Amino acid sequence: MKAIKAEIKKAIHNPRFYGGILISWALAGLVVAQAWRDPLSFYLGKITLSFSLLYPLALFGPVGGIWGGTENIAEERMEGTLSTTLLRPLSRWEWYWGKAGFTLFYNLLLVFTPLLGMALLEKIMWGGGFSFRLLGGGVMVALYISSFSALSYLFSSLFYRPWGGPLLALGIGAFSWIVERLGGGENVQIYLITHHLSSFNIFFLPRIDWHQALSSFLILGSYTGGGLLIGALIFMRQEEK
Amino acid sequence: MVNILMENDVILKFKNVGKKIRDRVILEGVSFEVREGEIFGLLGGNGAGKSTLIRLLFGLVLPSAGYFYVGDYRCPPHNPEAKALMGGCLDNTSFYGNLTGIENITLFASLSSCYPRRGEIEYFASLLGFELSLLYKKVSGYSQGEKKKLSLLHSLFPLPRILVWDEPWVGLDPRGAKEVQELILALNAEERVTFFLSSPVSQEVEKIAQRAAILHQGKIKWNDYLTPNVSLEEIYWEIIERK
Repeated sequence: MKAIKAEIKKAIHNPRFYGGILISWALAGLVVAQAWRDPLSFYLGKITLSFSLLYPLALFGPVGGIWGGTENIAEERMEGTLSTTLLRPLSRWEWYWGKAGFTLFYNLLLVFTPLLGMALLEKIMWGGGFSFRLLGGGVMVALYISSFSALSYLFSSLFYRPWGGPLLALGIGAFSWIVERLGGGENVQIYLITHHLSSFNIFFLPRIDWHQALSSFLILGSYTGGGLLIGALIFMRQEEK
Repeated sequence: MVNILMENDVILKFKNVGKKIRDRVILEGVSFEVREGEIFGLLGGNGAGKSTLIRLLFGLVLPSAGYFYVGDYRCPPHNPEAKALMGGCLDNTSFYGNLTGIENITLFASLSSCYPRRGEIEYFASLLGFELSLLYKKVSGYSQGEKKKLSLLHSLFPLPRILVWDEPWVGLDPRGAKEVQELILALNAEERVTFFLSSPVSQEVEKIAQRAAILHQGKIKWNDYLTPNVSLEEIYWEIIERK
């Protein structure tokens, strides 16, 4: 908990923290502007504003999740602040999970603050509101973003250059997207990270396909949990020279 | 408070500590003790292994051989209880540049479950000759000497049993060095804080340390009490020239 609290304190003074949230709100603004410009397509497609926000959040969220959260491991290592932190009665394990825990929390903020704002706007305008389906979709998008954050953590624990982790995580995303576009068996595609870009849609079908939802949660959960855990194990074996 | 139950009040004890990085031997068979309440100086030239030994204490690097005790705690493996007994300042302690000095101090102190009041921080800052207005400015604008003083200052919260300072005088002007020296003597006399100081300069160690060791090429070459008729500098040169 000490490590998470310290991350929050640092984030409050970090412009990147606000930058990521600002971008997610800007996306919400764009969705509202689009609905204002072309209300008919929203009306005919029976699409809610908050639902429309999930796709741009899933598309751009990974960038925010990787860069916006806080300084990554390699950056703290290069700046020397990691060594200063480890002078304190804090284990490497605690520090790593404090940082990772904060990033997961930040990803929830990235998704749910504009989503709740949008749902509130809908409630005021048309009497809609926050639904279970929206919650499910939001969690799916947050998990999708977190899987990129986890990859960034994994690579960041390996490198001594701050941009290495984020760039490789985005590189893997791009690679996954290209492989998906090239086609191939469904058996392989389902394991690609970008295959789950639109998985939030499952919650907006007339009848929710729980099997598909569960498999998406499991695969994205494996990327997130696996990436963070492997990153932690690598980090535990390293030294700060 | 952890109960220290070691013979002869030994608070730090190195036992055949070695460190190899690839094929390079950084430390070899390092064994010595630091007793509670004393000011202990570790003298050594550049590359002697002083900073590595201090990084070992905090678990920043792991020994390739041997072990050491911090109070009752045998390390490795490192545990937070052992680190809780110590306050540390590295040769190049870094801070968050976008935070002010006081924000950095409270942030790092909170990791030791310590929440100092402004008045306390300002009190110790004034003892170190640290300009108080600087505490409220972002660290990115600090000079080298100011960063050094901040690194010494941050290690005082909470006030630990042992203060491990790596080259505390480096980067300070003569006045700053004197203020640091006075603070060390005051904390040692009034609060019985043990000091483990490293320095490449024998005069600084000689001025305040009660006991010292000379580390040369990763090995302890000399370790004894300092008396008025012992010249650390002479011993140091003797060791260097013996090679």
